[in-house]
Amino acid sequence: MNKLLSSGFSRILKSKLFRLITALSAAYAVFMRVNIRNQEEYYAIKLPIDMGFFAMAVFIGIAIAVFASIFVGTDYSDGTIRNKITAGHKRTVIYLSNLILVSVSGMAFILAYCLSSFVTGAILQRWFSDDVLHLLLNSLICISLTIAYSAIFVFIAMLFQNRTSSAVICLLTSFIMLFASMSISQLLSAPEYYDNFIYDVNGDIVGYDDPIPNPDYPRGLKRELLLAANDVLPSGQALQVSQMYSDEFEFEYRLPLYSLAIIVLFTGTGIALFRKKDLK
Amino acid sequence: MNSKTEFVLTTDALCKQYKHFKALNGLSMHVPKGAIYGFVGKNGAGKTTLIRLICGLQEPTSGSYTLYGVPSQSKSISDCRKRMGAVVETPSIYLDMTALENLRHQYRILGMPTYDGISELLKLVGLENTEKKKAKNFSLGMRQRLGIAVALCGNPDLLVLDEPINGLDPQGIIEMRELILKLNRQRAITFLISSHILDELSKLATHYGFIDSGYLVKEISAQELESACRKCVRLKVSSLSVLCRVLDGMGIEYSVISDSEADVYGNVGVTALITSLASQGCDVISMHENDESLENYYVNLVGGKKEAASNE
Repeated sequence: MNKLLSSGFSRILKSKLFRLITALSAAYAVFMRVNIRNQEEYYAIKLPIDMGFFAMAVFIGIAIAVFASIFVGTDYSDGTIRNKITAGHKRTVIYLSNLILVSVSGMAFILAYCLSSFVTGAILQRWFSDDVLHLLLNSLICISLTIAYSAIFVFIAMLFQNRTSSAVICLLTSFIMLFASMSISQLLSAPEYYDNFIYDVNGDIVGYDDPIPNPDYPRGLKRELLLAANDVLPSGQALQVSQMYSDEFEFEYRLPLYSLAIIVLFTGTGIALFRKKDLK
Repeated sequence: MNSKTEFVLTTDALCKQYKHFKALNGLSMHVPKGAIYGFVGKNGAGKTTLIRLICGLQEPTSGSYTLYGVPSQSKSISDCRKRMGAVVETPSIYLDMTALENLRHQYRILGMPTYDGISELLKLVGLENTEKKKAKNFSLGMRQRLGIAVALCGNPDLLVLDEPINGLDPQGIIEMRELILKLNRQRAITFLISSHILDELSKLATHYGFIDSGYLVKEISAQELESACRKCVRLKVSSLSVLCRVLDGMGIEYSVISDSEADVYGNVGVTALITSLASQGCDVISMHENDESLENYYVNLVGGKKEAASNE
């Protein structure tokens, strides 16, 4: 395993794609900070530095989808996966080393964003609004969802020997997950009731009647399922993390556990299938 | 091959089935230590499938193989593969890396403690002056040689090459041949080379295995093949019917090649034959000695097997 990780990390450090995504992550952080600074000036308010600190989580799925499919897919397209097997490495070890390499790369993208966000925030804004514990707990969710994303995309990339196919499937999956979570989030945040105002002839509010139920508000089992999907999907977790900051932070212990379940499910199935796979 | 011969690789009734297609059908072969084993067969005969199985890229449907005496079902077969190198179909190299980077990468995969020997490897395959040139800008021959250099990392005892001269220009073919011979002689590396370019293979191989439809039709050493290939004299005459009549009369074995040519086997008394032909008004237009080539041997072998199969 160490040999594969050592060779893999040296390959990652030389990878133009890795450098590009890292640079884009850092640049996105600067963009977000400037945006927040503009809001502060416009509304004449002070926003905490930890606002927008995890905004990168929303896009980390897309970044990992691109990186995993190209990084793992190159081993197939250049045929270099054969060198690993002929060198005596077991398939389980090859699979796990790829998972570790992609996960660490994903964390590096987030780290690049956070560092850039921190430095730019320190210059443009102020210190964190609350204690470091919240930041660390939020980071834990971020790390676990990054590994969960990696598990999903390494699974796809390891089972499709065609690099282009795996890149398309990974990207499509990441977008579908993201848009699904956005839709779920929108549904869940819909108000249960609309205010029912009573107006006079001039259009002024003169009183309130019983609130009107929102027909689009998901209720009962449907709401339970949507809540579960929002918590289980890494994209749903990412949206939740990106919107959290200290003032309204409440740590969801279930989220890292859901990520763990995804990691175990996809990696276990992936290893079982990869061990039986006929390679060319 | 005598019973004391040490084998690097043996296969026993190896089968590989893809859905309804049998790529290997009970293949048994023996690659002696130090040999250059030419694995001969047409496209789709099962050559690459066998190599994939040996390299651990695929699992056999049934049957087994041994690598340095270790059975394929053994857990230590992975460790055994460290003693072999392979170039399967296309060279396994990162195209966005230089030759040096590719070798360093392979050294890391193998867990070699230092990069000692890389410059010698580059020199051995003639890529010492490629410097910062990426492998994607290499010619096919250079990529093939880099693939071999990568396979040579870790000093393997067995090198498996799948169609190593496919697509190479004449100069590249000569360089590849010289490299294989050098590695076999200087480093005592055993080679398993699959090819359907028989003429080239005949310049290298010390042993042959002929495969057809996933089955090993014949396994033979180059020496045995040489004695099995019969010498003949090819005659071009003005009248084939007269030639046939004279040869039949002299009790000499022959085979008709065209309406004016025939191969005459055995020791031919040239003076007596030409005198007889001349007496019956048949002119000898040309005459030259002809060895039965590896190609003829292969065609006869595979054709013979097919005829036998169709007669059954």
